[in-house]
Amino acid sequence: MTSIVPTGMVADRLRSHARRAGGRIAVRTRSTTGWSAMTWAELRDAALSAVANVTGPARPRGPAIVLVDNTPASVASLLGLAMAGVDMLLMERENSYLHDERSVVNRLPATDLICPSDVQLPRAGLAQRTFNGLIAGPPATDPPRAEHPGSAILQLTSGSTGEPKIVRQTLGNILTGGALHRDLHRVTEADTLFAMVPLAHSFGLVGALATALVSGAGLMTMSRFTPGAVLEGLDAGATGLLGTPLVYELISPVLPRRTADARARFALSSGGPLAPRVGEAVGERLGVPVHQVYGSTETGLLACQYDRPEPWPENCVGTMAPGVEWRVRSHEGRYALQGRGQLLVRTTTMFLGHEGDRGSPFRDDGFFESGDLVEVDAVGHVTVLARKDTFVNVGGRKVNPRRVERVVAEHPGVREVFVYGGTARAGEEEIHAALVLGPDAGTGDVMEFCRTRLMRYEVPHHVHALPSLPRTGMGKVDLCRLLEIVAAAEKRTND
Amino acid sequence: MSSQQLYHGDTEVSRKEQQPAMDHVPDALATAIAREMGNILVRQPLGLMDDFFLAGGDSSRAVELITRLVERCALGDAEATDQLHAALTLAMFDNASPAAIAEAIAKQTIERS
Repeated sequence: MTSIVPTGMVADRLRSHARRAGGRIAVRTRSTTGWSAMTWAELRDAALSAVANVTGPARPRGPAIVLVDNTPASVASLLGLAMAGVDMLLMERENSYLHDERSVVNRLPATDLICPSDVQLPRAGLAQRTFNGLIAGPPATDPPRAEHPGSAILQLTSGSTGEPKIVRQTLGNILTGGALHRDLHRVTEADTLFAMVPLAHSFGLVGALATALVSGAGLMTMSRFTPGAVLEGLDAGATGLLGTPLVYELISPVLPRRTADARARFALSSGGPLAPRVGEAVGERLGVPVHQVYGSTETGLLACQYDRPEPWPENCVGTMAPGVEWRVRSHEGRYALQGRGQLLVRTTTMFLGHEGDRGSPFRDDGFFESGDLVEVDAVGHVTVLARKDTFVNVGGRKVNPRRVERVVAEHPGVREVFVYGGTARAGEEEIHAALVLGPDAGTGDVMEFCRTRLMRYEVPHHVHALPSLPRTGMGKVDLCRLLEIVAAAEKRTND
Repeated sequence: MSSQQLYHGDTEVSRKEQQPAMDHVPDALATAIAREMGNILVRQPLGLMDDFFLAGGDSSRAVELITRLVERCALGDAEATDQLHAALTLAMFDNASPAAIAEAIAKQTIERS
């Protein structure tokens, strides 16, 4: 696929915004101590300083791991690295992968870790640089010549099989995705986008940061999510909100009724199905509907709702985005543009492949198997019936159960383990772990062990200690039988 | 129904485990919340000043906790329940200790009485 974004886009955009509106706030971030901000002129200078600091002998020899904490300094660093043509893996500041020796991240030949100043170096062999250090010093004076739309933006994904994988996206695709969001939601420099999601994830990176960059809109972020910060952001003039269904569920009860001076004009939800009761409650209070967005790290934006006179059908995620070619493969193996079946796509923002995989992820005709079951009706409305079942969706975060299994199995008292997803509240999932324990181990020990090795959202919500795991004749865990056993045990407990 | 009544009979915890709570917040309520937090986190009840998030809680579990507390503390009418829901949501992300959450509930209860 050829990017529609020309070379030099980040540098050109930063220069343009700084020239036309240098004193306007480009990025503002709510941390535990208050708000911090950079104007467009400051962001341009800071990013160009980062360019100077990674040019020449100081240039990373391999990919850089960037622990994005959503601060203005991290945004400036990220943009500087992009302008310098440095390949980078974007991760949340808090993650369980860096200290997991067997994780896919530690198989990446990364040479640099770029992070906040209080992060402890996870392993030898990484040159550590701080955001504040990277953006210090004189800015690069020459136009960055290394910027290239093919520069790699690496991101973690749940993976179609086995452990999580690293997706190789490109800078050009990220910016193209931003342009798509800009056009679909008519984002201009009069807007301020509030990313209630991490910028290290696709939705935050593309839907918020890239959209702000290509449109000139301001960007609001949080270093730690709090509903109170969202209220402050709305008071400060946020016009577009980007969140997950869980985020909207959390802010729903605290949002005030829309007032005459409210500026919010659109809200986007991605990461899973938005429960109608949550969407309606938030929409009623904000005074604008919450539009659903459907996509993936691999493909970029696939479909979304947008403002239009007629209401969107319930549970529909909108229509296919511009540039998306699709086929629906029916149960019988027939291909069509509408109907119910597996979704295959080609997009203008398609990834290049998974790090370390030798085979192509694409079919011979260039289509990518999304793994999702969808229905496309006669007018093009898309409904996602089921996402691929290789991950557990915890509040919009895709948790790979096989990785959690592997980590749990490292506890010396665990003889067998099987991790799976279960339904929680409407549209939400939780992680269950079925365990066979040795004589001296307890579930409490295993949970403590998990808490030291996994992020909080990755730690199983429910633990079921069993004498054995039910298995099929092929030796695989029999999930249907397991669910029956767990349900029966819970019934006995409740009785 | 007062917050004390809601947690009647759910108060047994050794004094040794307890840490000082705000004077005007009933220990029984904070202790019951500490136990509910422990249930959700699959661990022992939290100390009254322990932070839910530092003890392993995340946003998804926070929603679960808030939902359970709102259900148990239903204040009679929908408006009061909505106000309690909002107060608990803000309190959880401000200070997520059992004592602080108990104080938020007690405050709502007092305002309604």
